[in-house]
Amino acid sequence: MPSTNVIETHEIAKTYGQFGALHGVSLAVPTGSVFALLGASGAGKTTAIKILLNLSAATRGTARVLDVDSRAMGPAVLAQIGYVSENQAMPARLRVHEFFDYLRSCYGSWDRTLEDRLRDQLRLPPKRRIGELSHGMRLKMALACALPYRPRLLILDEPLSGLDALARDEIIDGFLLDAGRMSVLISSHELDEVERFATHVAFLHEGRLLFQGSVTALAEHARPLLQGADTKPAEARTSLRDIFVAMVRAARSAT
Amino acid sequence: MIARIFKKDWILLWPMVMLVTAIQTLLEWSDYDLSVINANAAAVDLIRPLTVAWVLGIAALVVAVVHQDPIPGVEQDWLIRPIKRTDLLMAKMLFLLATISMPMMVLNLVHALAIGFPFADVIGVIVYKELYTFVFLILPLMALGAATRNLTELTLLGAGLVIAYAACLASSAYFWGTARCPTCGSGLVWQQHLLQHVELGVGAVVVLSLQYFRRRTPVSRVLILLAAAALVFVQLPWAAAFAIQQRLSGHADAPTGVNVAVAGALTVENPDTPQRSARRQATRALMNGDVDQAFGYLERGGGGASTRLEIPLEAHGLAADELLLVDRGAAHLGDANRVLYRRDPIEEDPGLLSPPAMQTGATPDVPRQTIRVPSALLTNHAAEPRELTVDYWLTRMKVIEEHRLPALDGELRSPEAGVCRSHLEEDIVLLQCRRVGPGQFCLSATLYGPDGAHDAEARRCLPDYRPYMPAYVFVLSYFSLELPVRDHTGAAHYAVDPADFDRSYLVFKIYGQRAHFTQSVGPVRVGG
Repeated sequence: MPSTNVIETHEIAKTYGQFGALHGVSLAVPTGSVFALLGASGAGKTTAIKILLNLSAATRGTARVLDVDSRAMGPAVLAQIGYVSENQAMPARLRVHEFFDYLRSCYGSWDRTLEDRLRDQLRLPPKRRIGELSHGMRLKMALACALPYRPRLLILDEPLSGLDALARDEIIDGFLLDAGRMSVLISSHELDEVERFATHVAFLHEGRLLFQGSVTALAEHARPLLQGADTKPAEARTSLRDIFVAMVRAARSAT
Repeated sequence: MIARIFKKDWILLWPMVMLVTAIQTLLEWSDYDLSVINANAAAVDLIRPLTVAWVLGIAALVVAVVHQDPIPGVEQDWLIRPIKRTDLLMAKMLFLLATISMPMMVLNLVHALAIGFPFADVIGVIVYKELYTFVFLILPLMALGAATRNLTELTLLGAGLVIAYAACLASSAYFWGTARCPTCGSGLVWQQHLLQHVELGVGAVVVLSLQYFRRRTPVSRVLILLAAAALVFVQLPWAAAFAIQQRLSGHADAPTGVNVAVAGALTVENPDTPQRSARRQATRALMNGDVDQAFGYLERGGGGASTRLEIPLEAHGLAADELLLVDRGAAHLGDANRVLYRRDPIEEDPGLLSPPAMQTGATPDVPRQTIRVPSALLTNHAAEPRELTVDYWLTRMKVIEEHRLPALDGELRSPEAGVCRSHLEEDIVLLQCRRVGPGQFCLSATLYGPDGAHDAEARRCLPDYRPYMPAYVFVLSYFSLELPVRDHTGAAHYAVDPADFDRSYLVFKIYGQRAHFTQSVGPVRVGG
């Protein structure tokens, strides 16, 4: 029976020599959600995503993506996943239009109209070589390459870092607030931005999962932690940042 | 998908492809213009640097196309695209076939046709050569590319390989000396080369499979280093190689009717200078880069003074058009009860053994087998007789084609010779041949004047029994023979008058392998 989650991990761990990057993380990303994987730099977000996409093998534990074990993920599953990362190495010497030409043949469900719309909207210069694009333009390019085949699952690894405010708004307003039938997993350390569109969140701290659940559940979960904490006046809405800070402090005091 | 990946790689690499094709074209032109056709001096000078450029260009192109979609790493775009690994690998192979093998095939074909070889004779050999090059050169280079992410990693892996290979070679030479490669320096070494090629080909397939279908980079890198060690340490034993050669000749068990015997008294020469000289010679050999020779000197000189024994040899039962090649000799010296000293192989080659009728001159040169033995074995017990036996591994050669052509600007075309031309070059008549497929390694030619007088026969027999074409670059093999015809100093006498050269002719013989067999000579009594 198909799962109601697009992503499920069970106790995944990853070590690099003596260093443990992930310690038994179990995640469940519900279908249709915009799931924000949050944590400071080095918390293990990118490691978790690389395991989900079978780019890296977990030291232990299992991960299932779109009901398939991530280690056995083949072209059929990858055709339903869009991935955008700030570190994504696209062929630098290809021109923008040449890369789109190339990708079109990879996906049976490629929507040329959507591609044209995205390229217009993101103002991607067709003749420019990918290697000559700015960081922000490359991220937009990666996003424009991840959407025209209408993936069931969009995985975004730190898509907002290093972008100017205008570009952030374009991406958030243009794509994430209107995810539609897509499920989205987005990793970020920009907690304030994520708050605008996330339906579910998970907090990672030093490779350990502190919380996961809906934004509503998070508020309930965080209330005891925030009582007496030096945050904002009671009448003010508690932000993701405040909750995250409180959780990290609690985790540190527990250890 | 294969076509799309191919197109993408073409867009990225076409300037490099053009450069490699240009190098290939220049190299083929140089080879065409080199010898048989024009003997163009510029072509002669170009061929070596162009060959180096060709190898580097091919290596760079192979690695570049693999590195367009690198295997190691987690950030490359293709990993998150729905691309079948098989399609990716096939696209890369197809690209290399189309950009390296196909142009080379066309150039080889045009070259061969320009010289006048029929299409039907050439095409099969060309296809075979391209497959050979693809499997044993291009695939191993692809494997190196697939085990690295970029040029830096490739350089580091390459340096590691060179160091590992050199360390293996040095330790092999240290522990086994000249015995480290039993077939080296003989006509059977092709079997060792083939074994090494098979190791490379199989290793490449394993590494490519591991990388493209499992992405096991650390394992692949260890395998590549192990393959470098295997190239040095996996050696075909001499007896096995000779048995294979016998099987291939199809005369493994046939009686030869040939007998090699001692042709006179054994000569014992005074002891050679011992260790000090040997060390000096070994050092000199090492400085010249000849590890085998250096170890040979040390082995000979290491045990103190040595004595040279010389045995005159003769061959009975050879027909007038036959020769006997000594592939290897092994000597053992002992008394009636036991072997006291063994030298296997004997470094000194007695040369070709031919029927007496073929030997020219008033006092024909008798082939002599020289063997160095420790002097102590002969002097410490001088009263006790010693017996020397020599085991030989021999190849019987027979004339397979005989031709007559003008000594100056003569031309010959035949299946075994290919296309041959003769011309005078200062004091020699040079006979040069090009042939599709493997070259001929045993040739002789005699210059005859119009009156029937003739110079001494010139021969060149450098055993190479390989049944296949060994080259990566060219489909035409080259072989030649030089006949000295005059000496301005007057030290040498030639029967044919240079004034008659334009009416003189060459009798040119090509020898082919007939049978490989073993035979013992002796025992020969030494001292006592």
